[in-house]
Amino acid sequence: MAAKFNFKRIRSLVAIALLLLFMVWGESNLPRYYIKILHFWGIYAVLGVTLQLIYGYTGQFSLAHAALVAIGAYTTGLLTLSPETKALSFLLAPPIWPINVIEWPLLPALLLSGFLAALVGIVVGAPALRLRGDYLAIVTLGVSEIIRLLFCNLPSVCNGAMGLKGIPMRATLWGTWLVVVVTLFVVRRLVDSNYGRALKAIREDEIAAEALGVNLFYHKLLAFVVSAFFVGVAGGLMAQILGTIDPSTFGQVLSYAALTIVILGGVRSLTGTVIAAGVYTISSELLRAVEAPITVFGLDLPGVPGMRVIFFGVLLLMLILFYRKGLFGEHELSWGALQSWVRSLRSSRERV
Amino acid sequence: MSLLDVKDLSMRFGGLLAVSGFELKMEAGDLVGLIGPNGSGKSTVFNMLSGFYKPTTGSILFDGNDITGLRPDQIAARGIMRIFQNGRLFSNMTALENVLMGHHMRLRTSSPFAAVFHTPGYVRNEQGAIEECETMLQDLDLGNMKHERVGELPFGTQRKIEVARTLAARPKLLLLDEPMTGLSAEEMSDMIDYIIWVREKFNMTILLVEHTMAVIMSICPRIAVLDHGVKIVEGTPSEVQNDARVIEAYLGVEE
Amino acid sequence: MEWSTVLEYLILAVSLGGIYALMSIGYTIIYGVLKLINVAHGDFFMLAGFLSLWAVQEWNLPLWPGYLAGILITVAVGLLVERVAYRPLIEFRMSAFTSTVAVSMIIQAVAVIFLSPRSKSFPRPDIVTGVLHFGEVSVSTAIPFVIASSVVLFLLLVYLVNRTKMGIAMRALSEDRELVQLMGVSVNKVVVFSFVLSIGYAAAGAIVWGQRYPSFNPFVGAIVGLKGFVGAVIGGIGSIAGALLGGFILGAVEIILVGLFPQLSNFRDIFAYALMIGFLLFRPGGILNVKVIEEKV
Repeated sequence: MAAKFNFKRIRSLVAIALLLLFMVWGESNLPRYYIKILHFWGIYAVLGVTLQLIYGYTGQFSLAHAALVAIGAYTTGLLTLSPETKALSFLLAPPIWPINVIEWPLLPALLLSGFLAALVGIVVGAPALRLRGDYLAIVTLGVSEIIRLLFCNLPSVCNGAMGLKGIPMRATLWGTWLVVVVTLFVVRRLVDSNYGRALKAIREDEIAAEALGVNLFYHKLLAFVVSAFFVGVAGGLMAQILGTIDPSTFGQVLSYAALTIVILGGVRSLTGTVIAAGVYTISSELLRAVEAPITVFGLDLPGVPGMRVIFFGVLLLMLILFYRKGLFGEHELSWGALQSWVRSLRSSRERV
Repeated sequence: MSLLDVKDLSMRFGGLLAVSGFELKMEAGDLVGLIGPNGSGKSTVFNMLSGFYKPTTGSILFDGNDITGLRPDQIAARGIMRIFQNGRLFSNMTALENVLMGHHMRLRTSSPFAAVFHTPGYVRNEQGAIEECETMLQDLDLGNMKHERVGELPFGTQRKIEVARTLAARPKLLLLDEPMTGLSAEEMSDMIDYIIWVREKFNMTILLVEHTMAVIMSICPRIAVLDHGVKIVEGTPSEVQNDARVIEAYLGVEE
Repeated sequence: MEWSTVLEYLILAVSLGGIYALMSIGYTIIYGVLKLINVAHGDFFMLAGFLSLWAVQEWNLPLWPGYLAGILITVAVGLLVERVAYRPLIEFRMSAFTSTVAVSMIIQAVAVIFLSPRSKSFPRPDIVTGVLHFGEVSVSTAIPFVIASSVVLFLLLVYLVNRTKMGIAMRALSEDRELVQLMGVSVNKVVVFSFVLSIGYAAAGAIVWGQRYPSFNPFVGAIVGLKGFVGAVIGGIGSIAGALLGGFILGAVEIILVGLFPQLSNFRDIFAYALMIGFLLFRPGGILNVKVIEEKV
């Protein structure tokens, strides 16, 4: 039993190592365009997996992702921009201390982004998580919008509606995907633990869970804050990739994208979510080519309305109506699943 | 000092006084039945004892501590566990996972970090919990169903798993809310045997609410009768059976 | 502050409150009947505005038929959405909610592509573009029209809800769904009626809004819709009287806020959101303390 377990583990570790090596190779060998897509895939994978923890496993319908991404993005943006650039680009009002003098390398900036997002997660979650279902969704949506509007209206902190420009790109592909791997690891471990059982129990039947000694609020908040941390980091990465951010980048469409990815991949399937994130990112790019030219405001903004939004709106609707289980249902893409799939291919070939 | 000491417990919903002046004392190892016609307030009493309703007046002392008005999970932490009238299993989880949820509280001491990084302490606790819960299912002759989704199991089996789930928490007091509801005659006798077995094996204190008079009469040495939110009689089965007030409550006044 | 300015603000408060109330009614009706928060409601408002605009400017219809066309087409779309996207999900609350989110996205995107990504000017009769003077008080001529239309629509609503068979059935459905089913009333028919009413009022609201604020863009629905929703929550979601009350209060408070603190006018929307969150957290039943769905233990 122990030997088998280790073998599986080694296979997974090897796969991860190969993935990261591929990313290192890709950094220097793939065209710029593909690199960007791979970055976005990673970022959306993190958004999806974190939403799985909150929604797929704990059953809390949160639309706060957009705001948390914004917090992460702005934090990293403000920290990694040089004081000189900030002084120049803050046209509406000069940046306040410490923003005007601070300049950090990427990793600490990302970590702080995560922590600040987690903090906001506590502030948002503490009141909101006492509500149910659609009320929770509305409140998280409302808080998201408040945060976004605040960003628009605080010129000395984040340059108001003008946003930040020229954020130096220091994120690497393997760095982004390392974040994806770490997020997956933490969420997977949590979900397979007694905490995960409690979260699933909350999703199934809150009343029964409470009667069994589960502190509903604590567990919901735990899922929320852990998610928020990684969403913040993903937001920081997004600022890196985009280079230019402003409040309109973080509209509700971002939260809806995460939701679509979660449902597409299969509620509660983490590997399915990662794959769905890929499907989402790649089809977004493909659809961009189809998009009518007049409707594109800015090429790099993921929240741009237009053909893509119709497509994803319709996709979400179709999924909800007909295929609620998503691509993977509740199953994970595991070695076992791959093996049996390969075996079934082989046997069907033999039959012919 | 009694294990459970309920004094003057009342519940008012707006204009409706659902329960008034309820009192009950239970010692460790007692098996008390709570009966009464529909709407007499049995569920309300249960919900107050388990923390789902905050009593309007009165006090509940458990093991020397005042637990009146605490949250359900706080009350569970103090050793009171309950099952629900129509069953509240986690239908999409397996039998083992359900019973493990009963055990959950005892794993409270581990932190999320331990769970993520698989510290030796966490792994040990988790292993122990799994073994213990598997044994509990074995005792119920359900060992082979441990990985089955409970939603697909027969109802009688589900109810037994629900009881087993509460036992995994090693409670001091077990509140059984109409465990016989929806069971066939055979399943009922099965459940009765199980309750008696549980009481003997763990010296469990049990408060049993039931609608089926026959069941309560046959197994509970002491019975309390509620009518319109008020306890009208408390005594042995024969005392209760022959009490005029009880007959009146169930059958209406004889003209 | 001079009394004339106060009076002006009061009149503005009443007119804005009236429009918000029209939107609140729509939300509350659908919530009452389906227990569903229709996130797309505001987008139907926007659609009606755009369609009327288009009918007049592209199809060259005269003004009032153009308005009517806008309303009718929007209601038709609403019925289609109900049949295709909401009715199949009646049992699944969260999926139904997600469905409204998806519909909202789709309508907005359709508007952007097929109607216009930028703001367009709403066609209105010349009479509303003037200014009225009562001594020192001056208001836009659109205001009396707005207030009058709102009052007429409210009276119509009261009549429909209290005097017609469908209206009464609608109220009954929001109180006790099972009972209505047992009474042999066709629930689907009542739901359809409710949608016609709800979307119809949103559409009418767009026409009324357009007289005063003649600029429509694909995203205006989201904002006005939000205000309508907040109004419904404040009054007590599910209750029509609550919707009227809440919508008015929100409009009034918003105008007063901007009047007293002009520097905070950017924070209008934040204020509305904050108010909504506050009510949902501390008084989910709204001012009228409507019964909120509680799961039975």
